[in-house]
Amino acid sequence: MTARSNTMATALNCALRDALRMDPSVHILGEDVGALGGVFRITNGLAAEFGDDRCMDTAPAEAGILGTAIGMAMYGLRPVVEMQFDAFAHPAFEQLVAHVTRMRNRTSGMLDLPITIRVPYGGGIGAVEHHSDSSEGYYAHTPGLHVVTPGTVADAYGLLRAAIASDDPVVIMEPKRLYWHAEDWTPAAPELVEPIGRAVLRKTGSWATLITYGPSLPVCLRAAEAAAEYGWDVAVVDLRTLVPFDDATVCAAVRETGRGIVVHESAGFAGVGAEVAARVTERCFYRLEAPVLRVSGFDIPYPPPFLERYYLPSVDRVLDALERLQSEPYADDA
Amino acid sequence: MYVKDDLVISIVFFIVRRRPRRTYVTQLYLNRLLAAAGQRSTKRNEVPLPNSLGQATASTRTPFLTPNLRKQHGSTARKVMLNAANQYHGGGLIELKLRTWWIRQKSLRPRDYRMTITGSEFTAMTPTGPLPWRIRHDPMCLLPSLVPIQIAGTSAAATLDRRLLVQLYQAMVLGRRFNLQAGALARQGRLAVYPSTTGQEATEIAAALALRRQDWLFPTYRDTLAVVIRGVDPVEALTLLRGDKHNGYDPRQHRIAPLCTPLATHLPHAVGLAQAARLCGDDVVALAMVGDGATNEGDFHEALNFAAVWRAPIVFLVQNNGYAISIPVTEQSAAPSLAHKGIGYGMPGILVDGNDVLAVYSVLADAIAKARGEGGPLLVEAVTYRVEAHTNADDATRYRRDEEVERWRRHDPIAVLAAQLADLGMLDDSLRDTAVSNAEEFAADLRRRIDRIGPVDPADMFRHVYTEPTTQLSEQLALVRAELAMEEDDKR
Repeated sequence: MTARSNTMATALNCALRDALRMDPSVHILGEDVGALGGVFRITNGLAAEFGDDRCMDTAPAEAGILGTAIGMAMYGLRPVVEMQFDAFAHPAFEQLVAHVTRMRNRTSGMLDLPITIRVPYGGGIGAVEHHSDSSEGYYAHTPGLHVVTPGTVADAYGLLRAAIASDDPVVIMEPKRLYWHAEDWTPAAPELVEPIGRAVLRKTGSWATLITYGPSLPVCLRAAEAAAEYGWDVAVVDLRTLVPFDDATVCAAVRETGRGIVVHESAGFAGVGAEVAARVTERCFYRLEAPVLRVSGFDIPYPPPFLERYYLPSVDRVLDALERLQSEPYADDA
Repeated sequence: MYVKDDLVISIVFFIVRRRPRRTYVTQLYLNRLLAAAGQRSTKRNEVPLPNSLGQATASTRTPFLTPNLRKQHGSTARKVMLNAANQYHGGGLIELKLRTWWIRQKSLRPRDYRMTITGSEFTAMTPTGPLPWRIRHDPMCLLPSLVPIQIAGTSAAATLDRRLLVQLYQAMVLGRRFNLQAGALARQGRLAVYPSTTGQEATEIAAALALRRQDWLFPTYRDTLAVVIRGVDPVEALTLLRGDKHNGYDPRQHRIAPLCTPLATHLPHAVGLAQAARLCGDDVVALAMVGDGATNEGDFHEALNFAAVWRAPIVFLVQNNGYAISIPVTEQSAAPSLAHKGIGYGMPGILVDGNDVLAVYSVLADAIAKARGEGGPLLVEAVTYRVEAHTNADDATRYRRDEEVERWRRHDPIAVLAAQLADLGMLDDSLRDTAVSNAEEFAADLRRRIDRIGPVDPADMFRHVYTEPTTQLSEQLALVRAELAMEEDDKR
């Protein structure tokens, strides 16, 4: 870690600090975000600097936290809600689906809810049950919501600032195993905010394209490096935003190579990868050399920590998928 | 059933303490002690508790007043009753409650929502010294009265402003006409559905009129009448039920949240809005309406908890109309009353006769004033009855008897108010005729305008999903437009 490098946790903390400083209507609420500074220290020091009213601790009641945040947004504040862990956000799901995603539509634009919901997600930290899930599929499937997920430190800052500034409700899925991941980044000028809805090409390539997001991004970058030893020049696209989906960038990247693999941690069936594969196939079919494959978690509840490494998509599994792109189509395909 | 026992207790108290009985606590717990002494029958649900020896027989219990005890310990009622309590229960819970009563009497402290318990009376001693915990504040003043608060038919009615009475009467007559008209429109198919508040007009109107202009109302799907009385055009208020749009009025302009279909989910919104107003330094109180069925939802619990912890300026109005579609309240909750739920959150509960508009209005106005100060939130339960079925699509004969409905029709809120007005000599023909003609005009205007819906544009489906439509939504809108164009071509 050099003097100019910072972790994703620091970047998120800076983003919240800058948002609180620049916009007095921003209020943070969540469990343990105040005095404790968050279980991951993302809100460290904010209550001390801005007061308990701007960074407020709440009782553990997720539906109540999101519900009251909706009321605050109705009055004109800009709440940033923290769900302590991915799987603990489920009690708030009714408020999300019934109201957060529908209020603008229900009132024909008269009431908008500029709420940001921060959800630490993903596994790989050796945690017990319910602390390692990936539920971005539920949020992506619900119309009326924007879903973003940073994979780099710079994007963590930029996307969180953009999410807070957006007048639409945004769920920002923060890859918790990358919280302590350090990169060359220092807090940028306050005006620099990543646009929501733009995917980015992290690495160019000519033979195949890996499409990924969040905690699977470093896995894909390492897989692309390893693939070079096999003579495969692999591109990597970082989606950054799941909704609204950037069809243009992704399809251009796949058309360039003719082969696509979607990589994500959450269960594969009916997951985000299925949607990406369907969209890419619909739009790029005649430029594809092979079916669009998916490398994802299995269709099982997230396993206990000792078995985690068999579940998470690894570099080897991505390389196996790249190899499958080479072979003949399956003999028994229908 | 209570009158005779109340009399006995009052006399006993007067003899012992030489002043009238005052507190609710006394009534409740002396009833139990008298039961223990075998002097009255236990209530239906009460299980006789064993005494400290584990024997649940009346004969082992000391009569309430024992001359020997009085001589030994002086004539202080506390020591007499503590002794009886010890024999009844072995001390503990009842003793704590009696201590509370005694200290209240001793200090003659005024009823205060947040009374701090100081002094050694509330410290639990253990063999290693005092336990580092004590109960946070006096729970007794949070409990509601056992009988719903009423004003109509009491002398208090004469103290109210006459203009208010006239306004309430006219609103009630109009409200009943609105309910009947909207029900008719639903049966004619001009509204998709109408969940009526026939029989509940008193609570609806009181809720709407007790709010000040800057306050916010959070209605449920049934509270269209409250929205109309608060000033929204009835055609706009009925838009959700008509089916062309999900909501017809501007929430920010009227300070009324959209009618909420899922149960209790709007309660945390109301708490958040009230708290946001408090954080912004604005004088705004939120009134959140909710039905008896919705008090079982988790969001009800969470909203009340947040409101009480934050001391948000909000009043929760539970309209207990007896049923959640077909489930009676007795099958939904075991609480003594829904107002009793407040004590669990540290919030006062108030029980009021929901068919007495004067009582509901006064209670709500008082509650709003209290919430506005630093008093914190309150829970008001208005006991009323849903005379019609859940909606026009429901068949109420499948789960309740006509006799029950008839019993409640005799306490129709308009009849209650009319009787009170007649008592005050205010109910003359001119008042009645004005009210009826206003109501008829209102209903006729509604009938005329309810069908005037402009062309419904399918593009509206895509317009307000996000601030700006995404590329995917633009593609899908283009698909719909192409379908519409083909339909047009086919017509030609």
